[in-house]
Amino acid sequence: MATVELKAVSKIYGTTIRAVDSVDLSIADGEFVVLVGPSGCGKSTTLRMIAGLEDLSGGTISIGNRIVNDVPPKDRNIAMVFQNYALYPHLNVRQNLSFGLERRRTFKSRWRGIWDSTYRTQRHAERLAITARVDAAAHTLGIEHLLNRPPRELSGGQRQRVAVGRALVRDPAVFLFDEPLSNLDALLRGEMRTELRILHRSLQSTMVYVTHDQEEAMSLADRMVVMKDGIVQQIGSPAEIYERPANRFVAGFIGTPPMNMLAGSVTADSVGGLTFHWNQCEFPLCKRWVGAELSAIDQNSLTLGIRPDRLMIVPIDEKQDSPSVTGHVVTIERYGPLADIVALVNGKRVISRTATDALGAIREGDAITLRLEIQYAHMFRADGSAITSPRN
Amino acid sequence: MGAYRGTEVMNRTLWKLLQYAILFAGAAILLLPLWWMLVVSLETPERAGAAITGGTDLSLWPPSPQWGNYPQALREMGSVPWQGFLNALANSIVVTVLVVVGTVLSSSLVGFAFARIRFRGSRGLFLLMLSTMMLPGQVTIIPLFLLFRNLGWIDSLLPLIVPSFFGNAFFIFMYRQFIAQIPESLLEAAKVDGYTLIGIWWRIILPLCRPVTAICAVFTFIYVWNDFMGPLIYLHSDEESTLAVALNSFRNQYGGLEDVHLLMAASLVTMVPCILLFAASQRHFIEGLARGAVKG
Repeated sequence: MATVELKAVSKIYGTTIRAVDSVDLSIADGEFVVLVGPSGCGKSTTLRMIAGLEDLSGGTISIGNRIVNDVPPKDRNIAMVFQNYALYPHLNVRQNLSFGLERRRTFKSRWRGIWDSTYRTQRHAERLAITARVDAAAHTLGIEHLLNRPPRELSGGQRQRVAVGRALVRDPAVFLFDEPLSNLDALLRGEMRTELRILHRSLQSTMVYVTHDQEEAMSLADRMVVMKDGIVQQIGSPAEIYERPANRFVAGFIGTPPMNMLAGSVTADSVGGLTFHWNQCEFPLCKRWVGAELSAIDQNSLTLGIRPDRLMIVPIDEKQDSPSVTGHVVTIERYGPLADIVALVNGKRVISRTATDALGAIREGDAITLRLEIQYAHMFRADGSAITSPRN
Repeated sequence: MGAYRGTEVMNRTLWKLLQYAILFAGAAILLLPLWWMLVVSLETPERAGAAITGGTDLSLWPPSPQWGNYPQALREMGSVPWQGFLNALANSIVVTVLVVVGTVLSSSLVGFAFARIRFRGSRGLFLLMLSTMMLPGQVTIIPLFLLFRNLGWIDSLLPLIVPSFFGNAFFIFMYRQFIAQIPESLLEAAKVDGYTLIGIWWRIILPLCRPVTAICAVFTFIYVWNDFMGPLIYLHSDEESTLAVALNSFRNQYGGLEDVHLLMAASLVTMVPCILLFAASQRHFIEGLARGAVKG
């Protein structure tokens, strides 16, 4: 149980490469925080700095109100789960689990039991305690039947459980996960995700989790930290980040399929109504953008972002009162109840996600009209930052 | 179709037969000297001497094996009966075991450092170390002798043993290549688990390096057991000699035609440990050679 506090944490390789650039993050006790971003964004480096496997180039990290910059990993009261599991191949599962619990023995203490019977009893008790802890962890994770097997005889999912178990037995204040599920197949990944959530709820301990998979991040996190090029882009709950992305990068990175980004311009008419122009289409913006700082900035290079599920198919000849675009279907990808339609509108690609039922007789190559639910649109400046509307 | 398959099977069988024939021929050629030693060592002095000069042909197996040749040969090694042989045997065992242990420990430790610890000049040091392999051993004989004489170690086993605890360039190189293939995260996991570098080396690196250790141990064993130059240079008194040197003095003493059976018996006894070791470890050994530096 501990808080984790990062203040202006930086990692610079060589003299110029800023892998992590002044990250501030404060993780509450018992919180499940996920660091997410594309590869090379510095999320793993940040985690490794928390673990003590990388030195900091600047800033401080505290765990449980103690600055740990110069504390070696073993004294930070953390446990880490690695992407490739890092199970010791020459030890069986039980030995893997107890490896970190065994007391470091000096040459003398190794033989002390021969003449010192108190010491012998004490060692025996310790050994029993370790066995009990290993058994308890194995029970929690359902790997009791694997305890005597070497890692090479385990499946990927079982290895993953052992790796989590190795962290679990140490009862650390903070769990660190470095892309622990990315070597598993999709089905197992989903299963392990659920189990990790359950584990977190029962342990109530602080967990920091790194992944490049935004869906995984959304499903696991209490709070997400979206990173890019070593810089924190946004910190917030999954819902906040999904609904109010701070910039174009976050908006495009979070959500499947990615948000449609329509780069265009805005004009205002005499009565204050706003119209967005994109690709020979124009649609009125809803009232909430009026009075936003739209008028104060470069109106010719704005981006309107709209999620694929806010782009609805409508019958082609139906009269539209809300803004819509017309194009033709390039491909349709069906995922059971949902389907993604990739359409070309005047040569530009847009994606719409709809219920498969709503597809009707639409086929690839057909003409299609898509309605924008403009009230859910996001607006971004030329530099990518989001424009907040007065109401919202 | 059937006929075709039949021909193919036959071809394959023929090919296999040919392979085995070649292998058997090779093995026979390699075993010939050993067989010769064995037969001569069991012959009577007269027949053995005659075999050397070409007077009689050796049979595949001696008509009346003289097993007594063996105790006789060992008894007469050195000036005191039995003592010379037992001393030399003990010395050989002590030197060989310690050198094997020393080479494995030091080479793996240094290889680990070169593979996993980043420090200023590590590349330069590694190249420097490799370059020592280019140096012929004869070049260092005199400086080393002077060094050990100044230390007062001449006529003791120390000059043979101590250097092995400072690593061997070739085995350091082998260990380094192997250890470089072990995933970094294993070491990091152990660090998080609270192990120091020495602890990681002992508990993780060494167990994982078994194939390399097998090669290193067997090569070193055979080399040291058979080493003649080292003991000859540093050991002067009779009771400090090793088997290889003792065998040589035995040859000087009993090298005549009438004693060749004893010489062969003593030689065979000297060879036995190497043969046993190779037989016991050949699976690991071949595996290690074949796998080279691929991770375990």
